[in-house]
Amino acid sequence: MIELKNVDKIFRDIHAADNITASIQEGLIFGLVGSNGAGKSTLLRMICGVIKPDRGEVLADGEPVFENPSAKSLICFLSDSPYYFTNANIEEMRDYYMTVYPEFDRKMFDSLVNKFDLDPKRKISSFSKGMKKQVSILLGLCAKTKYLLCDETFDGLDPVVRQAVKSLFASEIMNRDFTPVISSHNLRELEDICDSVGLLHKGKLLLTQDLDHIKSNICKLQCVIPDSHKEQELLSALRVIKMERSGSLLTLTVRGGREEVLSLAQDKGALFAETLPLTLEEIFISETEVAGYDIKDFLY
Amino acid sequence: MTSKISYIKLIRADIRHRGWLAALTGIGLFLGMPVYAMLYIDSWFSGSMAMSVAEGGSGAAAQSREYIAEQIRDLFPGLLNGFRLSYLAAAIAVLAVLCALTGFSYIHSKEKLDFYHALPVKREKWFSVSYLSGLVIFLVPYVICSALTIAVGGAHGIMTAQMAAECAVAAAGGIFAFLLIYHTCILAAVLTGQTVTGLLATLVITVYPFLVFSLFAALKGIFFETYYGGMVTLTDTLAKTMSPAGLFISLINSTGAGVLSTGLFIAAAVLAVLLLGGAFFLYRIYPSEAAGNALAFPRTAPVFKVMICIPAAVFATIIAKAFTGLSGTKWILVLSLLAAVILCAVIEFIYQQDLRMLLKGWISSVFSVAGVFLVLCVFQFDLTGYDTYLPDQAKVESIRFYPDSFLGYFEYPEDYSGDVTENFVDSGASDEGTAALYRLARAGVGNLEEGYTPSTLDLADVDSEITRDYINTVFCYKLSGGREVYRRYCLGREELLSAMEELYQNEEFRKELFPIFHVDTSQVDSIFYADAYGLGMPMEMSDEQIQTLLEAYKKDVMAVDLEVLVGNKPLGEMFLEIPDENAADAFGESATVNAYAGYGSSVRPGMITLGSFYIYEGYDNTIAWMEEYGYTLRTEIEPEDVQSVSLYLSAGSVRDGRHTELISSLSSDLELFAYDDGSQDITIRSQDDIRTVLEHLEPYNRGILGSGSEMGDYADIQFDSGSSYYSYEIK
Repeated sequence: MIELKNVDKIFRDIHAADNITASIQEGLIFGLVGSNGAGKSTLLRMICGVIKPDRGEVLADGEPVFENPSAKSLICFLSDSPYYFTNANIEEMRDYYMTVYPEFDRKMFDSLVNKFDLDPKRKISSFSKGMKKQVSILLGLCAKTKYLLCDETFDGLDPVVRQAVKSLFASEIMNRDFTPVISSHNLRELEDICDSVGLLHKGKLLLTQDLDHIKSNICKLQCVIPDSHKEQELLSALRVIKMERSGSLLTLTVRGGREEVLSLAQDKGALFAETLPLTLEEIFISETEVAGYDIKDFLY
Repeated sequence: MTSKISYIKLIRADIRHRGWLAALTGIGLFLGMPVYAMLYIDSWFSGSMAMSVAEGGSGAAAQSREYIAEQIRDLFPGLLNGFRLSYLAAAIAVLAVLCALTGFSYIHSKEKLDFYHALPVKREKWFSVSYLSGLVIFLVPYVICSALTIAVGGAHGIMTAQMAAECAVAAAGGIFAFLLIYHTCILAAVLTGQTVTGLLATLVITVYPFLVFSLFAALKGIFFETYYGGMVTLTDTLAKTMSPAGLFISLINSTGAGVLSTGLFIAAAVLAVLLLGGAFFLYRIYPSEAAGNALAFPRTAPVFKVMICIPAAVFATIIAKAFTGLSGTKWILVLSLLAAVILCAVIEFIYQQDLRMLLKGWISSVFSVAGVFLVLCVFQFDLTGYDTYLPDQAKVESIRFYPDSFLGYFEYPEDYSGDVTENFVDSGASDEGTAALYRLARAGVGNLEEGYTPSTLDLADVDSEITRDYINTVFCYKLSGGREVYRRYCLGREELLSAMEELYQNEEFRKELFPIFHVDTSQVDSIFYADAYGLGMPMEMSDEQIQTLLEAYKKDVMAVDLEVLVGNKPLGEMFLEIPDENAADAFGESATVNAYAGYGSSVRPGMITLGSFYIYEGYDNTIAWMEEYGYTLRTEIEPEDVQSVSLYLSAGSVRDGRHTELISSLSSDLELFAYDDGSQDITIRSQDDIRTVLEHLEPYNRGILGSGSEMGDYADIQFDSGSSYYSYEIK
């Protein structure tokens, strides 16, 4: 398990990580989502031991990560812009990874390179951005570390490769002790693949929960309640995140299970009431809006 | 798991990634060392250099292969570290920078840094891997090329055991010089977040101590009238030993000349360890987020700015002053403040890389400008009382002094030691002598306050009153704590003479004064003498006879009156040939060459020739001994012996008609060349004219306190047997 305990990091006047406490469970795919500049990359760089937190600590399986090779050997970090040696080809990068990751699965790597139709002799510098990301993912996957941190790694992959990588991740999770941590802006992608999610905003971790739990605890309620007193009672009873009114139709984003919310609305004499599930994107927008990051600020 | 990650594998991988640098190093050093050595030796043996040596050397010996081999042996160690080929020295420095930057510049790139520092390897290990890889990339080809170069020497038959040892020392010097720059550049790399600023930081760290300490001496020289810069001071030593640049040059020069300077090696080792230790410490705490920033540790930015700006602004002004020929000091403050403002802006731009942010660090800019102002005020207004300083007489153990007039009059063995202060004359270890010199120094301070300063005298016209009546004199106060303090004063000639007369009473002072007592006479190899003819003539003597002559000479100099030294012309002069104890100086050129070159004598390696052992009328013991052995001093020049006389008349002399009577008495059979500025060269070949002119000539000698005027017009005489190395005064 990766544990973050009161992790804090300030770059000059930017609070990149604000007292973050969280844990990433083993055997699940963890998605890290957040607005631009929320501190996702910084958090990943702290988890893999590149950056030292100003305060707090990052533990991998109970051991501090920073400057601790035994803890770092559990983690492989794939940067958003992967680095390859000048003029290196896939084989040379593979050999280097084999030097630093003794568990590196060469057979699997060669096989995957072949399946992904990548030329192992060709200079990586001549690859497209997506192909470079593919190489990076394959190197990281075959390093056979327990944790694989992917910083925007899925961005730039075509849908087929993305699906293939998802399958590979699933297969690895099935076959060994493997926990990928994926940061991305593409919330729909994460929704499909992640088991749990951490939502970052301005260096603060707004929530970190199992995705199903998140989804089951937030929903959208649309209802028409003719009695304004009853409507007020409903609003008081619900934990409203967001409210919109169109004529007599009230649209609420509320915390709580769908059935529970619907039942409350019907109890207040609603002429019409229905609950809808939220997509991860909607959850992200709602939660960040609560934290003061309102999409309307960009529009109006 | 991590223990399985082998150092060797990582180093091999690192070297493979820097293969281009390894190739460049190998090719560059191969061309610059063994290949160049082959060409160099070949040019000596068969090329024009060999010819020139043969022509300029001493006969058959010079033409022989062994003679040339001996010459090459003197120069050969310098081929291993760039002392004889400045391109090689520059290549060593450039390779050190390249090895450091290619090994450590990854910390300036976020992508590379994410890659490396995310791997399960401790930073200490990364540091060691990068450091050792860079070292191997340089050391392996350098050692191989050094061995090949020595082999080239061996193949040409010039290698001896001693020379091989000198070559090893030279190669070690090259390696230490490399390490200094290598470590400096690594330190600069871990102090910065960009390779460009890393390079600038390398430059700053390399020269900073040299600049600061040299600047200190330069400012004293510019602002203080009594400053004397001829001695080796603590700041000079610090400038040389604390700066990588100073040590780099010293190591190359010293070891390239075949000199094993343990002190230099120790200083280089200490500095290299300090630089590497600093780099290692900073690397361990290097903030990964610094990649891309100008500095790795932003809090140090204002400190660096102030530290760089103050000396750099003043230094830039002094350089500008030197190049533009500005005199005086009043503009230095203004220009330095302007330079400080500009430098602050430049440094802030390097930090921020945004023109709009130039004022961001305004507080440190204010400190920098104020610092420059303060420093220059201290010098401009002599707030420390440097010029008027006189040590408490009770604290003065002894005083040594050296009037400028001694420079052309006496020649001491210490003149060749490299430290000119060694020939300063002691007061004779007597309290009276010290008191006399202290009074003289006080008079110097008084003269200074009245406007008679050393620089005024230095810049005065030849015929001015101050030139006639004053002499600049350097004093060295040895204080009770052992500290030595130097000052230079403008002293009245009479004041100086009076003090010297007092000192002259003391026998010990006279022994200090006369160069013969500074010479270990048992070391004297041979003696030449010159009379009015100014031709060096050897005296064929046994060792015993040499000792007898010199003992007689010592008796004579101890008996001579000071007035004789001041006012009389010597009858002749002796030259002593002694072993050169500083066979190779810091520049690798034997002092012998300089000494001999001055007298036009043949070069004898390992020896120096000292002149100025004057023989005055009254040196009866010396003259009697010489005459007994057939060496008579001629006081008159026979016209028959003279081929030609050349008169050199200054423009002022021609204009004033100082020698009109003499010139008009000559026949028209002379060669006259008039220059545009009014000066004239006249060459006389007619015997009658020569006879006439000789009556007006006498060897130029200013005496121990100078003649009171500089030599304006002079004559050279060409004898049948060669040129006189004296110049003759035209009466």
